Amino acid sequence: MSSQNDLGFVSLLATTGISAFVAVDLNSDGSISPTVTGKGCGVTQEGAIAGRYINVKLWTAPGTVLLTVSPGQTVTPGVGYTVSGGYACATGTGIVTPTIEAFQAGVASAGIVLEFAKL
Amino acid sequence: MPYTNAQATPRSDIFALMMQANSDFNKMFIGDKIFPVKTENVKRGIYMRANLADAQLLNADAKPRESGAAYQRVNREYDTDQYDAQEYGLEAVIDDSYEEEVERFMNLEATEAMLLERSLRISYELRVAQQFTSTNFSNLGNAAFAINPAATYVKANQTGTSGLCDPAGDVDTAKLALAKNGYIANAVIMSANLFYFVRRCQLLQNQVYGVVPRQAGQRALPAEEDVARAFGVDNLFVAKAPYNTNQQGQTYAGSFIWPDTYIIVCVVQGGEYQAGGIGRTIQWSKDTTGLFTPETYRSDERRSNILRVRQHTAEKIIDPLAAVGITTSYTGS
Repeated sequence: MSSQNDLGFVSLLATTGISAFVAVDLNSDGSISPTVTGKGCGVTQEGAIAGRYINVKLWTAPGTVLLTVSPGQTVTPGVGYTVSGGYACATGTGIVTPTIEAFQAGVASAGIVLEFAKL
Repeated sequence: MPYTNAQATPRSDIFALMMQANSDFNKMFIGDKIFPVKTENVKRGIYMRANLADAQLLNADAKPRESGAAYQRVNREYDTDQYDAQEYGLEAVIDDSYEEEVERFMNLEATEAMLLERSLRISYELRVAQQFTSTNFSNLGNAAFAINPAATYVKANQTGTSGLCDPAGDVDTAKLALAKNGYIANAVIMSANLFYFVRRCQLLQNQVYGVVPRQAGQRALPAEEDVARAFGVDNLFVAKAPYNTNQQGQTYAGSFIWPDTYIIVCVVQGGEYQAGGIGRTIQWSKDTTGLFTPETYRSDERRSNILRVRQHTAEKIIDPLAAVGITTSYTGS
């Protein structure tokens, strides 16, 4: 390849249905799937069914990200969190280093999308 | 082969968008009615204030004078107050291809501009409403903002024979408190919950319709004008604007922007500060074209137009003594 994405918003193929504002990782065939561990490559900006391209904001793109919070996770502004399974969740024995910091408070319920800064 | 469906007629010529929350939303907001817009050509500034005490505004200081004697002289002190306008804004990305895809259903730019302005209006209304607390008024110099009602605003006190809720009486009490400070109240502000509660209060209905009811089937509920007349004020502002208290991804949870804590009796005026009134929305005119300034710019890297609506304002209580809040203790039950 002799091109690169200068802005940080790329279009990647979803091989399964993926919701908006979920962290995704690249598969070996260049498609994306919700990450199991780690931040992955970026966060989806829209939802799509399998076989469609999705606009993904790379973690290297400037600015904050909207990310879905893990079910049952309470979010407090200023506290560091990590990304696992595509969602924002607390650091724990598995992943101790925070990779994102919360901008907004969120009650512990599934599906809420909050703003995070990248660490 | 083009798709055909014997059950339906494809209509690409219909311009159609079904939008929820489709009322004339701007009519629900009262922020710029309570705090009328005043333009200033500087972002932060100072204005003079004549306070009741320091400026000797209501003193009976005249003394008799006989020939050859001196006159009493007043020692008046003027204070200052300041404002600092803050910019608020929201943008939307309007992708060229998406706009072309949906243009048979709606004008995406116009719809998005309307929705961006609505979002800014909600934030603006919240900023105005959140200033009306006893603590805030006390910090601004009005420790007597909150007054107690004749009876708490609960359903048990709406009808009965004693201990009834008396909204008009409470407003009169508030007007007297304002009058002692030299104000003639011209406005009452209440949330939608409180309005629909108050108009069902027995004492208020007696005042509007008389104690002996008309024939069965003829009784009507007082409208906003009736309630304003019953209160004896020119303006009754009923705050009906709702907003979503839940986060993105959750179901919509509607709540009214204005809290039910107080019925506010106050003076609402616009124009120069000297005209008085509880507050102003000070708009920095050099940086804006109006209360809300819509703009677009091109982001060709994403083959999109970026639509932006912004505000540059200071929602300022200029006279904290010009309002009294009747503590309702409203719970909805």
